[in-house]
Amino acid sequence: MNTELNKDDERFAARAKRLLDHSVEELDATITRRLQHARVQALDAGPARSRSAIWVSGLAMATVGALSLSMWLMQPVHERPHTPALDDIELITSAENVDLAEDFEFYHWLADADTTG
Amino acid sequence: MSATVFELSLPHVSSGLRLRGRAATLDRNQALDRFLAGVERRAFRMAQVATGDADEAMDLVQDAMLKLVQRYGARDEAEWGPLFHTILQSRIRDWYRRAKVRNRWRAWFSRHEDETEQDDPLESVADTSNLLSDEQLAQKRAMAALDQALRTLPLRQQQAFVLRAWEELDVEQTAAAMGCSEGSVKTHYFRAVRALRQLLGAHWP
Repeated sequence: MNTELNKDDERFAARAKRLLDHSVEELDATITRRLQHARVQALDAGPARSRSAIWVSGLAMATVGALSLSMWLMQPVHERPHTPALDDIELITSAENVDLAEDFEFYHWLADADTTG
Repeated sequence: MSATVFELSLPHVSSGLRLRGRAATLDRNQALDRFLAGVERRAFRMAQVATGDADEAMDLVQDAMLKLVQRYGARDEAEWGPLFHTILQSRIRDWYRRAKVRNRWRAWFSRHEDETEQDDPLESVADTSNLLSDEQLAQKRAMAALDQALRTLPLRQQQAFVLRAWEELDVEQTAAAMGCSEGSVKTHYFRAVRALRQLLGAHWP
């Protein structure tokens, strides 16, 4: 199919272009203002983070988390910060046991006395 | 962490880089603002011709602007034009599909109602004959008739005509914006021109 335009077609298209150009100049102030507002809003929204960027940052955070955890687990047991055992907590919280702890010196002396006596 | 160390060890360098980055963003925003200000009114008219409704057209243009800024603002400036038209035409196509479904439902529900009469485009031209010269009045009437004729074209022909004749995109750029082959663009454009001439020829003021 021949799709070449003839001279009349081209003249017609040129006239249509002139009219369309003119119609843009004729747009009323309200439309122009709304367009400006739309433009400002679009520019304010700024660039969206791409899906790949979100993935990369998520992956980076997960890696950092995994590294921290593995470093903490890999350190020798004696270097780990001392965490109070349940018995110690019981000792601290019970008033009875606090009294008992205060008498530790007496019990040590008593034990020594038993072996020597 | 290394970035923090780098910033701590070379604070003047990092603040300089930050300033340069901020300046580049500002330049880009200004360039985007200039670009959008240059195309927004034509884009609005394109969408208005396609939808026949100012509010719908405004939504489509706003959507296209937002997508360009958000997704392609970092691209080279020379790419913004073709990209913007691609986005806008894609939005118009989506609008057409939705409108088609809506109209099908509406037609189904109002099957027994009388067919509504089509508006006469010349009636929509405000009667400003007292204020306008004959030439201005003729121009207004010609534009209204062209708008109406463009609306009767199939969407693909309408897009091809607007992008080729008005926006003066070449065949390749038009094909990219319409998402079709170059051969299709040539055919749609040719048919659009012939159809418009036939529709308007007899009484185009």
